[in-house]
Amino acid sequence: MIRQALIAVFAAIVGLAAGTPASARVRIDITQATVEPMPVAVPDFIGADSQLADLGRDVTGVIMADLDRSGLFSVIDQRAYVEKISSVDVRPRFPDWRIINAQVLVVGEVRQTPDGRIEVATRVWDVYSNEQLGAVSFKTPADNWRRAAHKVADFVYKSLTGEDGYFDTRIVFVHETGPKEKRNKRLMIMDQDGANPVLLTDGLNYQALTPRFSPTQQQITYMALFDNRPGQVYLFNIETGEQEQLGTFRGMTFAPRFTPDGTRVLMSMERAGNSDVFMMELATRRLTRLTDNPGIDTSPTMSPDGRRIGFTSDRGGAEQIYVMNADGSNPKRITFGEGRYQTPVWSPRGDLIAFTRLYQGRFYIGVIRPDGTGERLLTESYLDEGPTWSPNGRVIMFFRENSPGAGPTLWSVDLTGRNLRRGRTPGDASDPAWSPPLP
Amino acid sequence: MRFGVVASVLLHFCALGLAFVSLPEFMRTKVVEAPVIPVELIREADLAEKTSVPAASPKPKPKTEKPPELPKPAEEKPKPAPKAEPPPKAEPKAEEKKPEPKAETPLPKPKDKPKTKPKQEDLDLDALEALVDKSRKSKPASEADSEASLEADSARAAVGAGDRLTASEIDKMRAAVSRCWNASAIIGAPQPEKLVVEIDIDLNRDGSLAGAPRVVNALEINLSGNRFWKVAEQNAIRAVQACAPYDFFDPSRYQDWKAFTLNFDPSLMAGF
Repeated sequence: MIRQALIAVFAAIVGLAAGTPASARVRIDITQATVEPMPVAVPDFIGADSQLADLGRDVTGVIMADLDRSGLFSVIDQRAYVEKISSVDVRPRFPDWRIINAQVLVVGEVRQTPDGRIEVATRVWDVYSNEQLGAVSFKTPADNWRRAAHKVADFVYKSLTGEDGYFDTRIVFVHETGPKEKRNKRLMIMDQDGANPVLLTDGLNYQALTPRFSPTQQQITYMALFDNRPGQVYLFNIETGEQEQLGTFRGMTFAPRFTPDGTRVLMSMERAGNSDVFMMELATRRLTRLTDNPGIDTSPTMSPDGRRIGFTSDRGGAEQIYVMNADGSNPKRITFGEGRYQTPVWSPRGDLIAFTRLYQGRFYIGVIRPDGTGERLLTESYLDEGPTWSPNGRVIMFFRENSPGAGPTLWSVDLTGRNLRRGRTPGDASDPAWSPPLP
Repeated sequence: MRFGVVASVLLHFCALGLAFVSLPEFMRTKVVEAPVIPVELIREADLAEKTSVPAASPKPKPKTEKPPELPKPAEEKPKPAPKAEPPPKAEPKAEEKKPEPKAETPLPKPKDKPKTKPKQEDLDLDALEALVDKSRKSKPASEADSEASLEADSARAAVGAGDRLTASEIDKMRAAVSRCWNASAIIGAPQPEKLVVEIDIDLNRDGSLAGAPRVVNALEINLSGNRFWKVAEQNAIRAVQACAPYDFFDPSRYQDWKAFTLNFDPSLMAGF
């Protein structure tokens, strides 16, 4: 009763507030939109002296490249800008930015702090509503300016899309060298924009395959393939460089992947010609068998809520993707298309599973809902393999070989299927793994 | 011999039985199966109302400057007949008017006057003269205009002309807003079909926004805690602001298009 009265009063207030009665309004449903990058203006970040101004220019360059690469924004050419920003603490002249069709303006300044570090201060303005969408500042040692720039780009991205950015992240991948018949495969790590590539393994007595990042810390797990003994799964701490083998088994262990909480590793183990999915508790090294089937069960991946596990199995004939409970019970097949489905990877958001599909000699990267509906293929080529999600679940990176014998290269695509781009790597690169946001 | 007689009798009985069963079928007249053609009936009154919507524009004008008395009967009579023509009329008007507001952006009101002139060319010269004289004598433009629009409203009500926009006008508005609505961030969000944003806007006579757009479901959006919905809200507001002014409407029918509720619904784009 009281609730109804309150609702009535509220409705009356709303009615009074709205100048025109609802009945006099013409109602129109807007169901079509343009899907284009949002025009953003990013004038060079200012600096008090020439050195800081140079640094500001470098910071701006990294931010512009990040935003542009996301495919969601198009950075307007700086030569078109009318207003020259002289201070980040003064409201911009919005008509000057509207006239060049900018929808958002990012201004910033690089300052020297008394303790010898730099501070990168930024404001994001909505050019049409004349409102500030956000302001932030990062302090960091001067030689770490690239990370500060990525952080600013992440901030702009979040202000405009509502989801966390993925620019301050790194990629681990397999760096391939040497002739095709005697490939040398080593692990390499770089910033997500291709900067700062560093080799992690020497590749002298083993090949490194299928690196996977821990979702919670700077740690990876990968498979080492030896000449004289079965391949084994290893843990690699990127910060300390320490490595350790995850148990010693008679059969081969492969396809490792961390669980979302980073405390366990899912993997496949081959015993007497049959592969099944196992889970290892990292603290206790206790191994739990999750599937027990004469078919080949492999490529396990856990949902972000930790309740389900997706995997590949050929128990029904050709390889298809299945989803089961985290304890291995109730496996259900979710893909039914022609061809073969492999390497399922659960999105960090939990709403999609990325996969590789092989059909009539072509490879595809696609996504499907965990209940098996809404399958969409995003890419196609001679060989597309090894999908990995950006930490915000918006972008998929994978590797591609365009023709037989062509070296593998890294590519990324938005989950909508737009914005297919080639990544920058030193030489041939395969099997990428996206890190969580850096601390 | 005996067998032959028995067989013959049996066959005759069979033939008679068949004839008894099937003959009535041959006698029946066949029904021709014709395809059903659905016909939508439109009552004359409905039709008149539909087609009369654009015709609303001619009416107010004579009345606004009507004080001279003469044009009144002359103008009102022809109306019923021309009702069928309005669509062509409405379009040329819109085209004529567009350039004007752009040329003289500062003052929207004087624009209304020039617009009335072309229509008066149909009137007799005496009436036109009277109009000009009257306008010179009487009031400043702004007052005359507001009075005129009031009279226009009452006139429209009296004649029962349309109080809505035509389908093509609604399409124009929809196309204009759609063009500025950039959904690239929304369609990649989880469950984009749920990010519906409803916005009320009021327009000035020159098509510019009168005041800031109001988000009807702002409370729901804020309470949801869904940051993607918040971004969808910002995107919709940006679209409405970026597309203004909406200067393609007939200013003489300002009452019909001065307020809109725009329902930004990404559900049809959810499949990318």
